[in-house]
Amino acid sequence: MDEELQRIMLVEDDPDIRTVAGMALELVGGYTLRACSGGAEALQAVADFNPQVVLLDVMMPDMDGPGVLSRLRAHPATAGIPVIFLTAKAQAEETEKLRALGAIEVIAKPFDPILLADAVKTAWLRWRG
Amino acid sequence: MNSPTRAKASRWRRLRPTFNVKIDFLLGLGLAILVAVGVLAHRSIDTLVDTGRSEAGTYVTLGHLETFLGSIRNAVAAQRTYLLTGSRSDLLIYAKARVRVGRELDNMRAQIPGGEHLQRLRDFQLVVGERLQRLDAGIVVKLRGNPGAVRDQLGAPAAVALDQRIDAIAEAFRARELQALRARRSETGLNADTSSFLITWGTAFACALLAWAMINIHRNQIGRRAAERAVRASEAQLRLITDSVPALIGYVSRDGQLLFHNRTLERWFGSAPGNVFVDTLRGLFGEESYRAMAPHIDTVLTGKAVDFNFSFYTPDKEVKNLSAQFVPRREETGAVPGFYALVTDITALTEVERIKSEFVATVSHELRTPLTSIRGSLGLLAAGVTGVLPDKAKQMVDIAMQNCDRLVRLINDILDSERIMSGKVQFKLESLDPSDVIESCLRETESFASANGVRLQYAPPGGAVAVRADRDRLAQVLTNLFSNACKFSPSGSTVDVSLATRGEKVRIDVCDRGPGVPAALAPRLFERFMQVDGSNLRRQSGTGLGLAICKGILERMHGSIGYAPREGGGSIFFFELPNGRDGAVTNG
Repeated sequence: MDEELQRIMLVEDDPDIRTVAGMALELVGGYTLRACSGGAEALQAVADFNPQVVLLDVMMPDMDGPGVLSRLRAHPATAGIPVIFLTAKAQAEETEKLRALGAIEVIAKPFDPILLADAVKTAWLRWRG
Repeated sequence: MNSPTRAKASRWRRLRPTFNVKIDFLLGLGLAILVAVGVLAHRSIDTLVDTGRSEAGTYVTLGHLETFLGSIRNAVAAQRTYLLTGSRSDLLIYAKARVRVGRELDNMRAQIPGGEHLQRLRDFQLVVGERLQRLDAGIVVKLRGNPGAVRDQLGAPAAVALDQRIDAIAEAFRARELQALRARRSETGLNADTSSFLITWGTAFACALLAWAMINIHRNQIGRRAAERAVRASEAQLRLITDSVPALIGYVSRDGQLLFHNRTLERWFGSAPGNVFVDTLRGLFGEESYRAMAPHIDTVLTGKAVDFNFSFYTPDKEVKNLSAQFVPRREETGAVPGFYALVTDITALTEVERIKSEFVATVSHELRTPLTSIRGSLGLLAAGVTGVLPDKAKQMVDIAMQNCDRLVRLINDILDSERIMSGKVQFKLESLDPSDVIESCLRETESFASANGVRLQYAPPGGAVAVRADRDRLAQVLTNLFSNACKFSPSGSTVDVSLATRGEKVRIDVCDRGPGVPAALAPRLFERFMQVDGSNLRRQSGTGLGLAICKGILERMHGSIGYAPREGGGSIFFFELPNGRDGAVTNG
């Protein structure tokens, strides 16, 4: 399949990080971005936006990243969307736990904004095989 | 124990063996002398008694002799009287006297033992018999009425001769008895004097020895009482100290009996002081906790000291986290009859550690969130995503970004250090080829080395080498040491990496040609937040946690890390890991 990565959904409760990550993905990576401030908003928007990958913060106030992932997996229409976690708790054990939940990649905060888009793309391509 | 009491006890310990030997010797010698004196006294008394009996026998013998001689004289006198008077009554007196002579002779033979007197008795019998015949002959003559013959009988020379012979025999008899008596008296007197001397002075000497022994026994008892008081004082002091220690101190026998414990046990288990309610570790800590202890008990009973942590529930259902140290008690034979246990309540410490870990994790997370925004913003600005920056502004943004990266590294290191030190990091130990990991890390560090103008050089060993390690953590250690070596090496120099097997260990050396480490700082090199100070040595600053993290990682992998100055200048950082030839995979 020659499909290219174009649509990325970013779910991040911190507005500053959301802004920085959004700029990194849009301006550096050139992707179409749908930025959501929480899990509920993301679950509402995911069907319309149909993202090719979801960049998901782990710790959020209303619904945490694993919870959002679980809800995505529970719905047939969104079950197949790959998820990349963004987390400030990126120790090896925590990263392994997040991968075990079904994430295709775990990106540690703070991340390099210049390399973020490439990291997402690399993980997505690896996932696609 | 105060010092005078200790001095007394010490003096007692020093003198006690001498006292014992001296007392035993004195008592033995005194008793031996008393026994000898007793035997001597017994023998002397026997001798005196024998002498007395012998003297009495002599007097009895002489008495019989005189009685016998008297009976002869009576018979002679009665015969003479009859010859002169011719009275029938005098004849009757003579007849009785004559009979008495025979009876007294028989008495004397019966009473006097034979031996040397036997011959004299025979002589007496012959002479006296002959004399009696002459007396009887005189009586016959008188009865026939021949006055001339009667006159011949009176004062006849033959009769006088017989009387003289009788007197001679009697005198010899007396002389012999008196001589024997004198000899016995002389001998007995000498023996009595000697015995008296020996008994008197022997008894006095024995009494002196016994008195000396009694004095020593008394002194001994005084010393013993002082020592006992010292021991009791020492025990009381030790008891006070052990009871004051906020840890359980005990001694456990080989069969698990708790033979000694301080009062912490009662404080933990809610019993009144002195009331020993459970006397085994199993009964005290419960089956579940005992199962955790059992392997360590097995180990300590083999003679090896052990440290371990375990938890248990108190009777009030309160969970306690305990740190235990078991130290074996060895006898001279090498046998281990039991072990000393020091069990410390680390519940509060564990809670503090948990809170600290949580705090570090929370703070690091809370710091990372704003840092993500700052680092991201600076990165985008520096990359010109928001527009090209003026040179000065770009320079400032780069400085801010570098320090932001440094802050991130510091947070990462603090978190990493905390997790490693608290044992939260799981280590997957496996047998692996260290060359693979070294080469991989060298490749990763290559760009950093080039930026510092340093060349990394590694010559793999000829044969296959394996270590037991966690691959990722080994890589973390190697990367840290490589980057440190590059940071502190002068431009144009080489960092040499080598690998060698040393028995059960595998050693990896990282050798740089930097300024080295001042000798005074070397012992503290692997402590947290330790940095080699001095502006000339800090071309590039770090967090001060890298080497401490390396040490923590290596210790968790049963290895060690060290530093040595390099000959000709520079440093050698080396570490050792267990040889991984068996290939098993375990969790560290």
